[in-house]
Amino acid sequence: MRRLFCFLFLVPMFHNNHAKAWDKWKLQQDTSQINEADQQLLRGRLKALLQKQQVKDSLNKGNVETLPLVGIPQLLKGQVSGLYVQESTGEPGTPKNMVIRGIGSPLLAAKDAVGVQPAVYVNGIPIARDNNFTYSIQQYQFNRLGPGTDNFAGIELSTIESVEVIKDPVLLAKLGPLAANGAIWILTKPGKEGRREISFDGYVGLATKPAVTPVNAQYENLFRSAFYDKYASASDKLSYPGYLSDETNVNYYGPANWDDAYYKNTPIYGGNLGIRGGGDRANFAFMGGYMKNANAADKTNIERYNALFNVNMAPYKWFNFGTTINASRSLRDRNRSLRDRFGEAAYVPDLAVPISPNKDKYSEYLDVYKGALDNNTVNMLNLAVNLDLYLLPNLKFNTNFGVDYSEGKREAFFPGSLMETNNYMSSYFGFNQRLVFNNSLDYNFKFEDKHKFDFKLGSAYTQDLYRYHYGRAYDGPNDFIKVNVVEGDSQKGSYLTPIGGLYVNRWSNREDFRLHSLYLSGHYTWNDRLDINALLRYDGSSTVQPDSRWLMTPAFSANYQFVKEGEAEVVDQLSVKASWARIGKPVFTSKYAVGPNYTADLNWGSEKSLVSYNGFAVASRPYSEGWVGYGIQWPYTDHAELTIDGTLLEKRLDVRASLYQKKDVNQLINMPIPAEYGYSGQIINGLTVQNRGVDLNVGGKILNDPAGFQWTSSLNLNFNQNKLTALPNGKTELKVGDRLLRVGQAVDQFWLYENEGIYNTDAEIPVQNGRKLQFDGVDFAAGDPRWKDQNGDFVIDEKDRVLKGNAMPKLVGGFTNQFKFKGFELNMQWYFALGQKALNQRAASKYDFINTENTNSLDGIREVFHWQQDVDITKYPIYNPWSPLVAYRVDQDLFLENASFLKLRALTLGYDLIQLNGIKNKFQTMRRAYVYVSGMNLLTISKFSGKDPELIDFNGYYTGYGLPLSPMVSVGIKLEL
Amino acid sequence: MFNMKRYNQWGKYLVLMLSMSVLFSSCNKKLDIVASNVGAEGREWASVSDTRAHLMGIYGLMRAAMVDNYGHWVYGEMRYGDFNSYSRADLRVVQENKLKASYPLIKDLTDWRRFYAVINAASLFIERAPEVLKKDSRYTERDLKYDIGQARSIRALMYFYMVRIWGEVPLLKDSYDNGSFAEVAQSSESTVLAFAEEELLKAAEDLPYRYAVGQQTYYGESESVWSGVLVNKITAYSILAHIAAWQGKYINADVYSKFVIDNYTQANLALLNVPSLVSPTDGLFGPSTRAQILAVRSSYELGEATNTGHLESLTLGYPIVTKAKPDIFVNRDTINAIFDDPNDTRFGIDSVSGLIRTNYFTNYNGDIPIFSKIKVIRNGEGDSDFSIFGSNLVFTRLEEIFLLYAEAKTVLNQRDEAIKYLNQVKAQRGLKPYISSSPKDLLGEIFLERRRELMGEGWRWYDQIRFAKIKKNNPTLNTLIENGGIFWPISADVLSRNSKLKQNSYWK
Repeated sequence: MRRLFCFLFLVPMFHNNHAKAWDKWKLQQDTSQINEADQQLLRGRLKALLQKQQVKDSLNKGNVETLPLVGIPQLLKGQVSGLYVQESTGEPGTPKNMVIRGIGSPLLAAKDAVGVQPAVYVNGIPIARDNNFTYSIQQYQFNRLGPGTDNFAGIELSTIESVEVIKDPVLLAKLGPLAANGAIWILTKPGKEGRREISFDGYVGLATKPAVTPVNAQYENLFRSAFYDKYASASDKLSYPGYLSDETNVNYYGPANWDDAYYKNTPIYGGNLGIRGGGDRANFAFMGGYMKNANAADKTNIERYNALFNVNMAPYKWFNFGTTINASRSLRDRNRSLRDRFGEAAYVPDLAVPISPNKDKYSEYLDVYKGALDNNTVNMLNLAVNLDLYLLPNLKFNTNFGVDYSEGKREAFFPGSLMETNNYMSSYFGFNQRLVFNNSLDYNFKFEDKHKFDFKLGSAYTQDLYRYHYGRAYDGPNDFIKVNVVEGDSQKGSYLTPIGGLYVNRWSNREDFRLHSLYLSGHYTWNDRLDINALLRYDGSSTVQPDSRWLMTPAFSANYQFVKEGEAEVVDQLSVKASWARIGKPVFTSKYAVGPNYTADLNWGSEKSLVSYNGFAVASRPYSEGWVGYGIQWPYTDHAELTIDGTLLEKRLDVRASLYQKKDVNQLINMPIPAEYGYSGQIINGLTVQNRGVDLNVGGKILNDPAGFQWTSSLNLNFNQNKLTALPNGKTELKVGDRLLRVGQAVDQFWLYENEGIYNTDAEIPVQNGRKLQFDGVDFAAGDPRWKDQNGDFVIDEKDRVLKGNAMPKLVGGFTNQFKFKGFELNMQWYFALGQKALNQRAASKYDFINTENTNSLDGIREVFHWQQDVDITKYPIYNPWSPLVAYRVDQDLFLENASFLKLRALTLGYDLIQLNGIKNKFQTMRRAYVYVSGMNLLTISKFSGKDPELIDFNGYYTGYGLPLSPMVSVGIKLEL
Repeated sequence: MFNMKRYNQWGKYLVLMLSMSVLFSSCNKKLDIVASNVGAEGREWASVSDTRAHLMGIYGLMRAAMVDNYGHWVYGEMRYGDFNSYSRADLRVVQENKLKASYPLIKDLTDWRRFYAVINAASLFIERAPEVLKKDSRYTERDLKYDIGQARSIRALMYFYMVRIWGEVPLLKDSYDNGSFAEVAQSSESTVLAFAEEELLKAAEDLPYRYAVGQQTYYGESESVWSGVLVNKITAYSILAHIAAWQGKYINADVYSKFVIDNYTQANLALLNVPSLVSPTDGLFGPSTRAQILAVRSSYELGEATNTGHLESLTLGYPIVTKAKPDIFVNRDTINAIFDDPNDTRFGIDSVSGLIRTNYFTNYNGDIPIFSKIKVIRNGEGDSDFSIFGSNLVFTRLEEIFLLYAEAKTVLNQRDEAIKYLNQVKAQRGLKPYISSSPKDLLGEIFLERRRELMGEGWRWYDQIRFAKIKKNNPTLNTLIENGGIFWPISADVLSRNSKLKQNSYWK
């Protein structure tokens, strides 16, 4: 089969049908003088170097160009139906979650979140995302190792020409396995022939403080006294925390004004300057800019420098060439929470005494922090080279070479006083490198003007390399040496050993991924009414076992235009499209490709970074990760879609609705096997998740008076539901940690005990055959919660947990209104997500203080921002926190909350100065001078009891750690000269 | 026409070149990459470095199995033991034998998977290591014999370890390394222990007393690298003695422990005085090159010291480390009751200076005493501010075997021999010898000595069981022994993975 494809590839060259065709294609001597027709041709050709996908789901840049946004996910939030963007923290530059048309696999761990995200293509080159292999050495997975900056935050938004969200099955199939979860197609501003165009835009703004209610130890003391009065034994009372028992302690019982030091109104600003121009045969664009974005909390910010360079050339009519370089450098100041810091250090100090809620005390802490080093740098380079070769007017050979490279560097140093007098340092360097080499041959012809054919034969090759080097050291000689210095003299015996007796641990890892694809696609148009697309691809991946490495997948679609422009009265345009595609899903770890394998498995529950025994490297089967056998195959996804697209009422109303089904089939999962073989399970194919839903877009020009008032309104909606349709080996249930996957149910459901109140006295506890009701073998007692005995077996255990609530929203959408009046523009954007639930872990940890604070784990850590009323303490009953049942366990529906919300995300008022005659006359060349005021995150309507229903982790847990999405206001100008 | 021809050729060559480059750079070859972070089956078991890596892997898995959730101490010390939990509710319920409580620590400790990982790795080693003999001439018959002996011993130890915790466990004698994973039912304790005994006897034949003696090397390293690290002949006999004693077969326990006593000098072992024993740098728990019967290593110098998984993480508190209070401690009343002789060099009052000895406890007069017998912070010389611990998990040591021998002899009614060995240990600790005319019960005295000597080493619970089995004088424990309450429940997860398993009757 492969041979056949390789052969097919060469066929067009050796077929000597050129006798006729070449004659038509008369090659003229290239001169500097070219006629009008050729000019047109060349312009078209230059434009063809980078092409839009021509999908209707594209970003309306007018909605977002005035907003101080950092990354692609933020840019697209609420803008396109079917794309759900969730920000789990307001910290600028951190990774955000994007999902197109539902999650294709269950999100069981932090690393799974990357696996459901769409691919982002910049000028046709897919951005290589951070590989999640660092998680395997991370005891605490709050953040990925390294700078923790979003791969999609490196592109300056004002250099973007267009953003399209691709959901169409056949278009995705054309992009191949990398686009299996959907794709976002970004083109940056291209060169332009004609007069030099200069553009400038700049803004300044303010990230404002959120409103909080700080509390001191008095509040905490009162909160706890309810439990101590009711349930504490004498010895429990003796071990009451010292900082709460001493009411004369000013540090804790004094003024709680930490928020003055923690939250600060912070300026944000940015500017971008661009120049474009060129002639018929060549054009160029150059842009450069800087921006600084910030959050009012914890001095977090991101700075970014960026440059874009594009040049397109047509030295000959048959040869066009274009290249785009996009580069940026981002620097980030991260949050200073204890959890994130100790989590990275993988060291749990004594956590008995929290930070004081007092501003002066907290400032002392911040002063110590000034001696810290926390540099997070990301350098990104995205290069696309495109070469078109017209062998015939209708036969084009295209070569496309691309590089996406991003390197992340983090240097951290925390002085000793921040961690029990131990200082800590770490350095990380890692990179993602993707090389793309695509070739295609495009041939089109017409037949009787009615029949148009377009065939494309292509090959695509992607080569990824992911690497990192990480070292960390504790307890250096002093707080002045902030980086690990080693003995440099190779003659000395201590060569390369750290100076100062540092305890340095080092890790490095590499991961390779290669994908080679061959494809043949055909497009047939009949009478400009019927469009039929078909595609057959053949993908080979280095991460699938050699005997099943190649996967053949088809795709096809048909579009029929029932009404064309001018054919009917009310309806201006109406078309129906049906399409289906199968696409292989890439596996980004090479561990499975070798079959049964060996690794170093030395870790235990609370220790993840050991690499040797007695100083020797070790090998064993991957007991913790699971057995990998032979016969592992490609997972794939089947997309199906039916779309109706219509324009009505003299083009004043656009309606588009898509019904879709996305089925992610044969995915890999760790399935349990008897524990007596030592494995956590075996990794096999067979997990299938189905997403079904509707995308709806309605856009209308409600008032359309060109001279007076104009009002356009658009609504996008996505309704989605996922369902687990199969597990390997016909199993119907799978327990993974705290989650249960059950065939027929959604994969994002929580698995919880149903809470029915409290047993106030021992007498209330049910007794059967002289035995009290038990929780997993332990008798219930007064002060314990009532959990529903679902199966009536008179024991509360795992079997009584029910699947409840979805972490993913059922309905997501955006509602935009734009008003125009005499050059003034008012743009208002609402964003909503409905039907999702969140598990309030923050509340559970606060109530479960007996266990979280005494087990010396990071769960019990108390941050400075915990000194506020962030938990609704009227909501929960007073259980016995000492109960061996763990009364405030998070896995009960007591902590399940409705996290639906509606937000006024942005409001912009702008005016184009060019409307003023004075300006117009003075600056003749000026095309646009738009000044605006904008506000973001202005209003949230929600029943959620935590800070913000959006600040929820990938798995639906609300931890309270997300920095607030507080209002941001900015003023700016956009000039085009 | 000329131009066209040139163009024609030009284009053709260009396309040809590009196409060829596509073809050659692609197709299958490029997709054959060697995963750099895992070992492929075809490349493994080919050289001495593989056998060394796999052998060390077995030890490493054993370390992980024993220290995960502080298992060695929670299983061995907490139940009805001398340690009390300061504020941790999960450890408190273990003390009260409420092993159904739903704390994560307890749930995790009911799971035996990690012990079976050690067993599987050892079985795999026994099956595959002979392949290396053919492939690598540096790997000798002697090495293979030693290595397999170690794998057998560790596998037997893990079975013994599990039988003590769960009673009946499934017995798998092979690795079944083919992806089939058949369900296997539990075997009786005696069957499992008989297999362990048989394996240990086989291993004992092959194992040396010491590795890399004199001019020899073992895996290219000299004796100092291996001393105190590897399982040896003495280890095998020590475990044999314990397996016998656990089953009440004191005749065998006598024979096996006698072997240790007769031959320990060949393994460079010696009875130690208290300062040498507890020295953080040079003692048995520290990263020393002292000979050991069986110690699981975590040397700081070799980058294996950790924050968790060591007894110190539970027992140490201020001022030894910065943590304010320890998680577990021995209260003053218990200390005073056990250490009844002020001359005891472990804990007593120095008659010359009048000071309290701190070999076992620090901060005796503070609000809670700190059990500081084992305190290897970093390499043993570390200061209090950085709680990374590098102590060895000492499974057994010579003093322990002496006392076990004395126990066996007492049960077999050879009191003089028993007293002789008890008194050897006592003499090392500065205690008055036990006189045969003493009104105190000899067996009681031996177990009291064990309680003092082995405090914090994971023996207390098993000692109580053996003592209760012999004496039948402890109603609580004897009832538990009868109804299987001395065993731990099996985790729901393990039960759900194998339909042939049955929950231990006491916990049903």
